[in-house]
Amino acid sequence: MPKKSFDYKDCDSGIFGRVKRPLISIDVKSSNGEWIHLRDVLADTGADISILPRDIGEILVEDITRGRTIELRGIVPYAKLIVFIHDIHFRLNDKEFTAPTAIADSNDVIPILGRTKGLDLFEVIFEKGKKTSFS
Amino acid sequence: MEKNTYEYVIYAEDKPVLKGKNLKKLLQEAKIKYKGKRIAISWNAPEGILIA
Repeated sequence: MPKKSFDYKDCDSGIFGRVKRPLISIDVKSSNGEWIHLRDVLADTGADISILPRDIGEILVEDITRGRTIELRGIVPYAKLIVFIHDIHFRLNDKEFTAPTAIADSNDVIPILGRTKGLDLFEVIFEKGKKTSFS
Repeated sequence: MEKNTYEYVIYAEDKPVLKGKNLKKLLQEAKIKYKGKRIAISWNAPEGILIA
């Protein structure tokens, strides 16, 4: 598989000025077979599974609430996020894969490509805070 | 329904063409206005430290 690289993106931290994040572009497939291109998806090796905000999920899946409901916890104490688990089809660097994905019952989350059946399918290199490369 | 703090940005090819908070409406508009071009979804997140 050829190598695919994404430049880190400059974002506002609000505290220490600009911060660079490993944001990537990826395609997701809706239940009617349409591929939708998402930009600025966080490649997050700290996330067990991939996450999509509700608005995106509602474009991909007819009824997001039909997925298994679970509470996600993160590093922030006491914070919980209700999500519905669905198998979502992704395409990255010409490789198609299906990953269990948490569609949030909220839009206040960023899309994340997590490890399970996602990042773990690739050799991913975070190049000194400048580039994220997939092969 | 909670307030959506994210603003969506719709791209046609690599150019940002539409912004707003109603994603379905933005996509419908983009598919009509930019038919045949590659449409992509992005967003402007509020500033802050991100710990995912």
